[in-house]
Amino acid sequence: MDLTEEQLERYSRHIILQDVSVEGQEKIMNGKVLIIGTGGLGAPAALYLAAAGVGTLGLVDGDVVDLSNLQRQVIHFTPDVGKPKVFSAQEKIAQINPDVKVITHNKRVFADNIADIIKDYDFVLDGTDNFAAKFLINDACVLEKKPFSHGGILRFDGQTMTYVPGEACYRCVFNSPPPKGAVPTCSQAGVLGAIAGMLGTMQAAEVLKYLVGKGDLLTNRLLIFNALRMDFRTVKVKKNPDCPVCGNNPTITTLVDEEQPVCDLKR
Amino acid sequence: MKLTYTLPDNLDTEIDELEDMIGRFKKSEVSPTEMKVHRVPFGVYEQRKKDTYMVRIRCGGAIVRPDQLEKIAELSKQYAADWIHVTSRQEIQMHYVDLDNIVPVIRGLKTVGLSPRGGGGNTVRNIMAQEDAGIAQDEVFDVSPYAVALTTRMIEEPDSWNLPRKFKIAFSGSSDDRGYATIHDVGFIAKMKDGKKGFKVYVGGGMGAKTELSRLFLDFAPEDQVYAITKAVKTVFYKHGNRRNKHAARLRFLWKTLGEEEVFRLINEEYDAVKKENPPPLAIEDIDNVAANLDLPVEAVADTKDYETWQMRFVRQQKQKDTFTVILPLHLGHMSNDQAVKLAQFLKPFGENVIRMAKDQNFLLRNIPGKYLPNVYTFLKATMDNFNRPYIIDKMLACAGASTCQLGICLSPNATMATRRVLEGADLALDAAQDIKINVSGCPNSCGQHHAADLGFFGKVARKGDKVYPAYNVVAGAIIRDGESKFAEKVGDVPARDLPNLVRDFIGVYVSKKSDYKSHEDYIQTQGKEDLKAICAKYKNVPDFDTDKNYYFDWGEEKPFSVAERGKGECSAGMFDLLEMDLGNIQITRKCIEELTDKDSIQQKQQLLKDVVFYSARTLLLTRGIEPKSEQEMYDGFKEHFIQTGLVDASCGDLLKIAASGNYEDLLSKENEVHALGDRIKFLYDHMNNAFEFKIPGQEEKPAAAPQAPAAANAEKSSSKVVKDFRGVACPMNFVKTKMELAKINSKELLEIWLDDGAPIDNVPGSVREEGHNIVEQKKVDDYWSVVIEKQ
Repeated sequence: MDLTEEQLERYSRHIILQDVSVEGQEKIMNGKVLIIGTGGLGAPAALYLAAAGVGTLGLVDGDVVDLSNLQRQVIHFTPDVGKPKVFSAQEKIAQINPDVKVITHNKRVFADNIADIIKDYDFVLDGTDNFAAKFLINDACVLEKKPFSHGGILRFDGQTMTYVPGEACYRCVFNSPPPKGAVPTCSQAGVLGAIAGMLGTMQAAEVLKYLVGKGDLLTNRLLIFNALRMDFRTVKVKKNPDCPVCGNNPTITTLVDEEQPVCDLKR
Repeated sequence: MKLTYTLPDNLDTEIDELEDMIGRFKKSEVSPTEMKVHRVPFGVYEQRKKDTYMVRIRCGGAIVRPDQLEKIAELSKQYAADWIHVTSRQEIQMHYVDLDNIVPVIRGLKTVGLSPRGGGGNTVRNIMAQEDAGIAQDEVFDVSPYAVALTTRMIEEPDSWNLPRKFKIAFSGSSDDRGYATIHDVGFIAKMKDGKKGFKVYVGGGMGAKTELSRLFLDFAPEDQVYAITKAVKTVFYKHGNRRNKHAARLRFLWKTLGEEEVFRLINEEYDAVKKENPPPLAIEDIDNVAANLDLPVEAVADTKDYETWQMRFVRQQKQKDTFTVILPLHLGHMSNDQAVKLAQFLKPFGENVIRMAKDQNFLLRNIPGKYLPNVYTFLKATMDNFNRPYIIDKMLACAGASTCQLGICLSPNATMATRRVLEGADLALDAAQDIKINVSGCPNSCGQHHAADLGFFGKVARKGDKVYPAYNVVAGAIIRDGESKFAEKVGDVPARDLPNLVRDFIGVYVSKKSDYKSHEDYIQTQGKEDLKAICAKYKNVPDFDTDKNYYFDWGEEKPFSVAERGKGECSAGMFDLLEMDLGNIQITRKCIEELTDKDSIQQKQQLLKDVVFYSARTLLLTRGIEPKSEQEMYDGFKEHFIQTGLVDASCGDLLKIAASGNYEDLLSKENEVHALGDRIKFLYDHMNNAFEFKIPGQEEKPAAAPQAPAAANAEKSSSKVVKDFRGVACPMNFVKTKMELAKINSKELLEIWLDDGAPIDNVPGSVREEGHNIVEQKKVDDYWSVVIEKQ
């Protein structure tokens, strides 16, 4: 693969990095990444991954842009209100970097469609806002042996971890979704817009590290931060031999939908 | 006997086109760039003095007939300077021709079978033959008929005018290689095998900022293969030469980019292809070298001593019995028009085959019967300036220098003239040093052939404190001979001011030591270089500006030395200049559209939109080998090569239709499409490689329609060292590009990069080293740096 003059210049600040270089940039440009949810987390992640020149970006979201989204979902602009999020995001990506091929999936992920959606991608980024989707993505990625980045935010807090086959999965740490109502949703509890950017860009950085093949991923570690105190820490997590999906005797062998998504105030 | 080349049939049409173009240029319908692209391949160069031109006349095989010389001189009298100039490529030039007189000059030349076509630009240049071909004692056979016939053939072929860069061919009659076959793009050295005539064939050499010796392609090729071989090499060059970087475009750069094996493989492939087409071999007609039987009284010589000195200096016995060649020295290749007319008239009775041009810019008068030597002596003595000076003085060779050449650094002819004055005033046995070849170039380009000299100089800028002064690199010890060729090596440098003194000192030393050595070459190769180093050391110290201002003025200049006015070279007016001009037209027109206000008429806007479509359609057509004669032809060509091939969206077809219809109103509703077309053309241009193929990310490769081979990909791969020119590339892009090149090569392979002085050289090597690669060499070359990197 030969970078064009324009690409050389566009990606020069990557190429200068010894750990990226031309080879790493070429890997990024050959990368196929699926972003599930183009909201608070997916928006910044999609922007940075597009800017970085990821070859193919898949976008999954069934929602349309709502005025209340704009406080944190930075890929959508005011005139986009009412527009399907995946199309709104696709338009911005084309402007940031026309080199990027965008595949839109204007739908939500469910047990019956997720395997088909993720199968062509190298990496999945979880930018969803509900536990049902998060557990579904985990299970699907474990079963399909896809690496993925988990991310979640609420109020001033964020957490993220990275799964690669063979290492601890989300269910190893959190066995099953919390009971309905135990955890408030963004719409109920609120969220500081900027922390969506903080966490989404961390996830994007994990994707790029994975594609380039350099550095230490957040595997077997859960990163937790609180923006009020501006306190960051990582917690070691271990692969659980009794994990229902990746343990020695898994009980989840086919995908099922967990209870209905909880972040549903608007509907 | 066919003494000179034959003009192609289409020359009249080409002259008409040139005339038309000049007419439109004068009406500002044609841009200077476009004009230049047509003018330079016609051998017409703009001189430093604005709106004056130099016409370089092709003289294949170094031959000019007396009637041709007379015509040139007459035309020069009428339309050009009051002198003509003989070049080191064995051609004649006319200087200071006005724009309006270019076509009359070219038409006049045509009446005597001459043309400047291919005198400049990216063309097959004048084909040289050793100046004593046909008369030399040591030659295997006469090579001039081959140079003449090959010229005829080459100038018929359209691709001879559109090469990546110039293409030079030469013939030598013996292994002494006096035609310089071993330093040309294609060089032929006469050879016999099993009683048959043929040639040893060298390719890919040349002198310039990056000199390269030719490499042996065939140890023996039968004489009927001269055309096929040349055609094959030319085709490889046409397809694979680097058209984008003028500094790395000559055939010789392919050795580095493709590797020797691949280059020879490509040449053989084309050679096989040419052989299959079975082109007729060159029509070789022997050229007779016989002293004419004249009915002319033999003149008596008054001063016999002077006559004998002249004979010793300038008269050489030919292999033909009692037949002689007379060297007619022309100082720096100049001869007045009147002298030229007189010479031509004097020579006419001696026959047609009496004049050759030597690569030291002198005339050689051949086939002179021994008994008429006194007549020649008397005539020359009465006609020529500075008659009978020691040969070494006029043998000194200089390029045109900074006064007429837009590239020049130093005024090489003036330095040469100053040297002449110093030598004439010195008490030295100059005749004892007449073998020494002293060549002076004003810049690193080798127009003054300093690389081929016994003692050579090439101009450079030197600094003392905050002042610059003119200086020269000093090189010595070239050998140009089959199997032994080597270029002159640097022995030191010298301020321009001291160049004449250095020459004087060197000749003094040589004359005093000469008797200890077999030849001048033997001396220079051994003791001579050491002596030169010592002499250079003597002139090392340059006084401050306040102590001696002379050092800061070039010879003959009244202003302190400066390189600020150095222009861009004329030599390489090429296709990319044209493409970029049209891209610029698209941008400018689009900007005009943006800046339109409500006050501007709607007609104005639709005209501008149409112009965008027009330029968009035209820009890239050249790369498909199409030069449309009409607007419709242009749109048709664009449709065929860009829309039907999928390079440009089919919807643009409508835009073309509207543009061709003459009624542009409908373009108003399609403004976005018009802009998109402009963008697409720029995009295609940006993704085009040197072989004019479009490499579009994520798309299938679209091969060019022109006969192009898979060039670029291969061109980048090479087993030997890759050289990349990152001069003019700012930080950090130079480092980015370096990394890009490093990514393409394997561990332990070498990459050479050229960097500008200053921030680039201060930063890039360190960054490269930090990444674990090895800097093998870092050296300053003129005003830039060469850095050789070994990949980790």
